[in-house]
Amino acid sequence: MDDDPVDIAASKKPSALAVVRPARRAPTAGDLADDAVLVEACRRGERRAMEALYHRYKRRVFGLVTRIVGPNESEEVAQEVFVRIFRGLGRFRGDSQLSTWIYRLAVNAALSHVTRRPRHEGDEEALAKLPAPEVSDSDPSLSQRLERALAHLPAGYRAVLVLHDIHGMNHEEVAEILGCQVGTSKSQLHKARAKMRELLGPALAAERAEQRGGGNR
Amino acid sequence: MRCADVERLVTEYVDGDLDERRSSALRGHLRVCAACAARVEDEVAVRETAGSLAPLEPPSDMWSAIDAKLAEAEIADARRSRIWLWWQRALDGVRRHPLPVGLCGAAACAVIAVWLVRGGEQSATHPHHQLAEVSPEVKPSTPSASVESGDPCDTVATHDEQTLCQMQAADRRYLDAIAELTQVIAEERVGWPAAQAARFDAAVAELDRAAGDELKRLAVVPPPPAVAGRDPLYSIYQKKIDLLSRAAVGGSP
Repeated sequence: MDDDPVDIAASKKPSALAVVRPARRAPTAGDLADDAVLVEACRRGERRAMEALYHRYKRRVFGLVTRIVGPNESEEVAQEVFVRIFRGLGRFRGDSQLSTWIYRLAVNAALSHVTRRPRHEGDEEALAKLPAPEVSDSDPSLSQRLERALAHLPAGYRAVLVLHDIHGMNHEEVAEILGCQVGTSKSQLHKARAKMRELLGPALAAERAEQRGGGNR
Repeated sequence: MRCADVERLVTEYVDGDLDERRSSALRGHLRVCAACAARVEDEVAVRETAGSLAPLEPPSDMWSAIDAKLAEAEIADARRSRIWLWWQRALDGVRRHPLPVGLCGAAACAVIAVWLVRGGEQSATHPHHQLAEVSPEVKPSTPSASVESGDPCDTVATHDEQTLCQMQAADRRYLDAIAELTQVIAEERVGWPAAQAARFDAAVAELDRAAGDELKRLAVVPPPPAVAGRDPLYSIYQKKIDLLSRAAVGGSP
């Protein structure tokens, strides 16, 4: 439901002639109303509402933080993000969507953590040990390689690629979260994908060869 | 369309953001250029693979840890001074109603400016006021009277010691103000966009560097101490206070 790509080639396999539309589910009026109700209840200190808000955003926050800081310290940073969310809800004015505001806090905390800490050699290995995705629509080895390659991207590229490609946001939302221009978001994504293609070169070539082989059979 | 154009436009094309005319030209190029076709296929593969990554599940006990941290923070709040809580409430008010508060602030500044200018004019036209300010009857200078006035710098023995004491007191006032504003902003800055936070950090670092350089210079200045010699340092401190105040009241730098 969250991802609804339109593939004009009517095939699941990537094709040079296929344009992949941005995968995105627009927030419904129900989502917004629920968020507003939850925020009000959280401001009153209702524990059940706070727990509900946590469960609503925990995967998005944890996934985003993990893919930016790496799995070793992701739990600590994600906890810190939620503490900031609940402590800062009184200041949330509703100028932007709640999800955008939460993503902004999460990205800021993750990027601050990455830029503040000394570089650990072990982090990249730890990121490479992320559990393989449970879905099997795409080649699992390519997914694992992509997770591993994320650690080799500069933090800014990584944040844009995670928000746009993994979390399915459009450039306007990415720009609002990162506090940059839409054009900057587009150019960062372009560079991030180019770097990804470079890092995944052999795996992508193997993927292409396999598809051609499959197509010829 | 050339291969370099494909490299430049590949992301927009794959995301469906390219207009139809250029998309058609690009597709035409892909039909005759195997290298570019492979490049676009790779871009599609990266995008689709990234989009198909499964969400990561946080540890099951994370909520308990967050709940415990929230409780810890609320207990710490209960121990804070009432001034801190008042300051936070005032800042929240400014953030919620920036325009009315800004207008009130501007009006207050204008009133103060007018009052200062008119006060200066009156002093100039009434010289006996200035004389009264320095006359012994109005401004007592005996040690016992100074002790009653509560200024510890008036009780020291020599003029140099008094100057040094006044300089240290002035330093403390600037540094206390900076420390208080820094504490307020530490809470605020988590909500700022990363780019603005980075700009703010850079501006603060620049002022800290300037203050450090000035302190090094002052450390080798021979005695006697002179208050005027610290003016450049105080100017830097004042700039930092202005920067922090703007950030604290405006919500972001």
